Amino acid sequence: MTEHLFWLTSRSAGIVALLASSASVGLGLLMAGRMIRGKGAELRSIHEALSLATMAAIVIHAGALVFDGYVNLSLADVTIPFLGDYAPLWTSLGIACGWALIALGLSYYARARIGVARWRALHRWTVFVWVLSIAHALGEGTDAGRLWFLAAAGIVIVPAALLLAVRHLPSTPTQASR
Amino acid sequence: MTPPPPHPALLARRARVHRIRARVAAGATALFLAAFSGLYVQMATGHDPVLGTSTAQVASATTSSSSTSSSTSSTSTRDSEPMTTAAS
Repeated sequence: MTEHLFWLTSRSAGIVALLASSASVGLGLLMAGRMIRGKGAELRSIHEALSLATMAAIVIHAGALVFDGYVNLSLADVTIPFLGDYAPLWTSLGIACGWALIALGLSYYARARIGVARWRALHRWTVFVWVLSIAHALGEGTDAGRLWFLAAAGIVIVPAALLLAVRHLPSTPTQASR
Repeated sequence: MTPPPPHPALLARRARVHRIRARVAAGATALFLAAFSGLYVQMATGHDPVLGTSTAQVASATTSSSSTSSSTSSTSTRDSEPMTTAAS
């Protein structure tokens, strides 16, 4: 059974990446929509820490596969889209999402250089990449059909998705605006 | 010349941020260990979606003193199907 340890590591890290990114996106949407009251600095710190945890989990998720003896993937296979043979669309989507989430996450530390307004515009793409990463998880994930996986993912994905919907729904005209 | 000591409020904020990061890191690690343990148990009990019942058959084959026919059935689905690169 030990020959599957790296594979299990990759699957576990993928689950952590999905849940942590969903929690981070949800918290980010709550803060952006001013739907949560509290100390802004602390909420930002939680959001940042969840993003860092997501990035670490993504690195482990991909990196562990390189050490898996059976699948025999190279570093290039797990870092360059459309290089591997297995499920090229879903795998490539996952690789692209991984790079994008890492780049978008780390851009926070360069926002002074990028410019805050430009960084904010860039940061909004995180939600789009997060949605694509959910597609990667559901489309290719080994455990995607399992009830426990769907329940665990749903607990964090559904609230974040609802917040996203609320944020992008057109606001209804009020009496005052007539 | 030594720099002036940081303001106590700044020190308190740094400590808070450090505490939050440590808690999130601990939570993520706990989540990883829980997922790993769950997947391991799932695999060991033969309920893995890819490995199927093969691992349980390996366990039963090693504990029983039966013939080679049971051990030949221990080849995992993963060995016959190289399609397991995916995690979530």
